[in-house]
Amino acid sequence: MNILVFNCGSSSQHYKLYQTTGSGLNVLCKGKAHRVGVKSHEPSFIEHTYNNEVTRTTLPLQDHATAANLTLNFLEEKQLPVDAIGHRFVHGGERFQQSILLTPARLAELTDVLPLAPIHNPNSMSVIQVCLQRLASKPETLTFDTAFHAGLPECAYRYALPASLVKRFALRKYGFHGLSYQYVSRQAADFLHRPLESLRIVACHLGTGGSSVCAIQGGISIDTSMGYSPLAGLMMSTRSGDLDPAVILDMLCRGKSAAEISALLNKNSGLLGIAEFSSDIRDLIKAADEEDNALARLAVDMYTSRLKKTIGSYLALLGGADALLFTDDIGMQNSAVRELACSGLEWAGVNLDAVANSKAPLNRMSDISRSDSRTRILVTPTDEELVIALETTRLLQEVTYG
Amino acid sequence: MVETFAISANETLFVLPRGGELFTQPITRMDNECAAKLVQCKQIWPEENADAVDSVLRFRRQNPETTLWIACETAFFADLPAAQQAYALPAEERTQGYKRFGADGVFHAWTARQNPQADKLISVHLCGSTNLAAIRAGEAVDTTSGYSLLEGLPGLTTCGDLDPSIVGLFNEEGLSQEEIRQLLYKKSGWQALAENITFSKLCNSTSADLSLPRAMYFHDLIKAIGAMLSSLGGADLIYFGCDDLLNCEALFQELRAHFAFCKIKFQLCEVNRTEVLQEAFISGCKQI
Repeated sequence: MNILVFNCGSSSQHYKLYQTTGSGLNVLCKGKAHRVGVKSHEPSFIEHTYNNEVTRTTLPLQDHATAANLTLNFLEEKQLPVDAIGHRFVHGGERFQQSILLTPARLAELTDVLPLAPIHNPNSMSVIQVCLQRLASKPETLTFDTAFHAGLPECAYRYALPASLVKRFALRKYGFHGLSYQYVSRQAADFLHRPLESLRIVACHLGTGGSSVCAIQGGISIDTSMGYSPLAGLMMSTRSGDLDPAVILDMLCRGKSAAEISALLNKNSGLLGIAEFSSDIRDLIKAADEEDNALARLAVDMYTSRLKKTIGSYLALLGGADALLFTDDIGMQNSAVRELACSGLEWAGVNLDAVANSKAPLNRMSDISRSDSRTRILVTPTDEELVIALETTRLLQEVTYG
Repeated sequence: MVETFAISANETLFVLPRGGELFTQPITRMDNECAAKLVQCKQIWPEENADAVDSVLRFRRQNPETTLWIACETAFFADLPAAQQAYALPAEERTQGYKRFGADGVFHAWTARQNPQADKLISVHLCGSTNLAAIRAGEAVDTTSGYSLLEGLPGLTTCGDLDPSIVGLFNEEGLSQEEIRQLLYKKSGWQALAENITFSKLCNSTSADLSLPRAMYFHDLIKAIGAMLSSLGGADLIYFGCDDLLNCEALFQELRAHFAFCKIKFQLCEVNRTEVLQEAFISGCKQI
């Protein structure tokens, strides 16, 4: 059986086609659409890797449905059949706290949770619609990022708001990037030859679109930086991250509508809002270092400072950590971000090895901490698609065998 | 509550909770220009400033012979580094004055002057609106408070940090701006989690009814200390000031035990607010 996994980020789209075998899952083909629907100096492109050959096409990618159609075209061209599809769905709200097999009734219910993650959930929904049209007879599953954080302690997930409103609007910190945290925390335990249940981990999922940090104790999320929506927490590519609630109130009083404010904070703030010419931290570091661009420097300083403070708050919460993990595109590829984020965390036993950091490989886990560091600093690839594929396999087996 | 301090028979000090970009000196002598700025500050932050501004302007009318001084709670944070001051908003919004201005600056500046030996100092004001400042060589470099008194740790009735999308949600669901204002400033915080809660009960009660707000307070305080430690790159001292040692001793010991892993010096002191204001006046006058 071949399982196609779609993983929509806010500005990217990963896919992998897995073949189930007796011993597990093999990747037949994979790819990624880059800079989907974003304003950047660099052009959008989609790449496919099949039979060790990489095909890269540079073209405008105005939305995730376009990228999904291009992926299905490629698979058809290579005569790779698809038997089932698994989707990442960022925000399941209170309704969806575990993976599901898609049915018409559940599709209708999903419409209700679209607004909870306005720059994520609609992307996934558009790809689901593409698959329903083009692969109508194939089963589809959804795996939710919020599920990993469903067990947060109440002191971490509760907002200090009246109970009546909390209940009416299902207000709580949901947290995101759960698939990634689930995967990298297990990988770290294997790497360190320690049981996951014994580890205190601070994990940073730093993507080109969204980013978050999670405190994980014994494999369980005990706090995370994103909140009710993926807008909260760190400064991101186009998202503001945390903001004084009075600022939003003031914007309302000045005549902006809630929809206008949502668009402003989700699509025109963050790195793009400060630097104005790009939402990509890699562009900004280059402009700050090579062109002495003051706005780019401010954006980089804000991004890394907030990241460092969030890491520090979770190191404090855990009473120190056994491991500090950096993952996803920015976490893996950008040694400057890691160096700036770790600088000043020595109080908690975090000591970065600058040479190891600059040489960290991009395709496997590596240790970039000094030998005297109490916390192992690890750079690790994430594999959200594998988590989704395994969940899809499990759900289909449940249907088949009860 | 409006805070005043009689410096002498002919001089009185008023405390202004939020001065923004209009009051960047710790102490300002009242004149017509200052009065006009106070009115502006009331318009920008009505919840925080209305009582104080109304009081000082009324006092001025009734006591024209008295010299008035304004001690501004946000002035200590006027020179925060740009990366800490700015919100990640577009330029058009940033020019509206949305910045992090901090809070409780009179206390935090006093803490800095009391501990000149601590190059890297974290000042923690344990009270119904707890907030922290990270101080290097006497200057504020970070704080937990922001544009208003809402950001940071929840207070007795203030909401503390919220996902920014929640305020918009309230509006979309039909709450008026005034209802949202009342909700965030007056109906949230610890009192939304437990009836009749006080700061003393929050710190000391073992009642099951208060276990959630107490756990949240402890959780948030630990995170805030961790964030300030990260901004400073460690600390020589974490200084806790409170109105009543008996209220805070148990909480302080619990925090100190939690942070034993990083071997940083902790100190708890009872602070006399009158002495703080008196010292702030003397120190502020030296800067004028």
